Amino acid sequence: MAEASIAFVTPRYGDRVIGGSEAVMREAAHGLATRGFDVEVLTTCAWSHYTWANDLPAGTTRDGEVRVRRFPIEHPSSLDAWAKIDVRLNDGERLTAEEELRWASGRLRVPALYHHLLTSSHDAVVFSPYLAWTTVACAPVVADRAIVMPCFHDERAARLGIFRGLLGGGAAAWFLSEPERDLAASIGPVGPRPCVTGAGVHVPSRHDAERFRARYAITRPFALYAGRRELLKGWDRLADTYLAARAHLDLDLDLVTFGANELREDLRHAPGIIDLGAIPDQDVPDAFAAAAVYVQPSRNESFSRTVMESWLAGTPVLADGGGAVVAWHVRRSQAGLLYGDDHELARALQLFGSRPEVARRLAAPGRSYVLENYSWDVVLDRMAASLLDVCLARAS
Amino acid sequence: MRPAGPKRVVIVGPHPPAPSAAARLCARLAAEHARSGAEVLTVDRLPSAADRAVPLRGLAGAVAVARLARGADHLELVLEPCLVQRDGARSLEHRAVAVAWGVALRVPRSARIHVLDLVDLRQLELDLDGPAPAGLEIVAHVAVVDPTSPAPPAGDRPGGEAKDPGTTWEAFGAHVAVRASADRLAGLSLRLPLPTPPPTSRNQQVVDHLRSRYGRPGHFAVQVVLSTKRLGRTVLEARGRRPGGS
Repeated sequence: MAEASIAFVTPRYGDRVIGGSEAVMREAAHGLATRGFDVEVLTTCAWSHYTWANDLPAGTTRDGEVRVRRFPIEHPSSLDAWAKIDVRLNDGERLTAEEELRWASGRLRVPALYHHLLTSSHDAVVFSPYLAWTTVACAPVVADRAIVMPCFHDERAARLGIFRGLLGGGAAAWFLSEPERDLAASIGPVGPRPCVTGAGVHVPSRHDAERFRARYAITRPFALYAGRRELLKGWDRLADTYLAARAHLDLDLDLVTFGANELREDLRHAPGIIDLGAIPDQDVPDAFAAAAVYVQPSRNESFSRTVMESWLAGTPVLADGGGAVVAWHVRRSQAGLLYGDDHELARALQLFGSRPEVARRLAAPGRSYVLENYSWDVVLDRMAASLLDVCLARAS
Repeated sequence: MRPAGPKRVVIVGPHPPAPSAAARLCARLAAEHARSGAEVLTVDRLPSAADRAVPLRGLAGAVAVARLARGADHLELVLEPCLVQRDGARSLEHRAVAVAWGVALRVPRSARIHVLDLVDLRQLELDLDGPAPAGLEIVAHVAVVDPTSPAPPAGDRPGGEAKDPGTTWEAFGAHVAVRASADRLAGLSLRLPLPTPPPTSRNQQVVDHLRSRYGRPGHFAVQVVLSTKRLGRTVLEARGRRPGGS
């Protein structure tokens, strides 16, 4: 299979890009390239999923062993029509078939990428995530070679008709977890070769909690939240519950956070909340090691890389039990607690603040769970096997 | 003299991300022409993967296609019923639309019209205003219901997808052609009562061939190519019975 040619189609690509799907695609592309696959990334000129501006030049470059080909995004003259439909979608209104199409192509399009794929000769083409125009519009062009890694969340958009046939028409589907696979089956037909590949995580060579504390002048025990600080990720609910718990319970725990987006105005100077903004990559493992507990308040996860990073650092996870994927990880690993409501979240924070020895004991099985299931070597084995399957099926 | 260079092909119809069989056909046609070295321009009435989004309904649509096809070697028109249906239009308007489409189809050196859902379309009428161009083909794609396939959830069907529960499109690309000579075209009625086999001997041959090829009784697709070499006025009519209907 050394000569097999694979393309990864992702809406954004690069080390500046924030996003779970994009990170997995980049790591997988590099990992498979080191295993002898001829890997090309087909992507857009954008790095921001807020502006989708063509900030990067179109054309071909190299990122290590991976060839990167960028195509310009075409924007509509106005986003008004798209925004109106988007509001209706988020309000739970049912869209007509035509509205779904206007929504899917109303914010951006990449016709040059579509044209490129018309004549592509790759043995397999991996698309992710499902919501991206680059996936839903381009995968049908290479259906017999398309592998879709949808990164489904249980959200309204996933139930739109335009996505229902996305997996059924392809050559294979890659899922990051079993709950995601089950969700996909409830949305529409799943193709002939479904595979729960998971996502890989890098194992840091060291964790230095004291270094982190010293560098950021943090002296008190803290709960950690890392990632996008936004409503959809559950951040606002976590912060509000934390402040309420701090006011009414004997909570000996700060709440440290880093990641994308500014904090809500009223949280910027709230007692106990420490916002580090964006921190260097090398500080991230140390931050997880220094935390008393990592809180995952998001129900919209198809994998949750930060949960894995926490377990690798020997830190337990406290997660919203309403999120099927993270709850699945917590139950399988036995390395964390699930909460059902704000009261349980507050009580659990109190427990982790007052009983650090319980936290450490709870975290113990987490590291081996990650190493056995989600080290990149293990995940790349699954992806390579699936690719081989697709290539052999085409050859026969 | 046509200038040297790649063949220029215009493909008009729904494109991905529309989840319909028509969009899959447009993608397939675009890929086939692109791989043969043609310069492909794709056109849709909605924003999509196509290069251009232009209004395609009625008279304006026919005029737009005529403009886009100017200088093209070949036109593929994957027809959506809404482009040519009367929709309450007066007969004079409808006549104008039929004439305009006829003119549009004469602009390129050759053209193919693809008709997918004859049951929905019921009648395709193009007024070619004289002998049909030699390069004009009409390709009718007829999907026939597989009564054994699972129906999509009631009231929860994908937009633009086949509307009949149990309709499957897997065999959509079957290349079985029934060719009618031009002077017999008007007499050829394409009748496919669903899901029972078509009654005509010619269509029965097609059914038998597909059954032997796919080995799944009741599940087949038919592609009918009708040449219109000497025909001035083309009427292609399909009468289908919806599953469960009377």
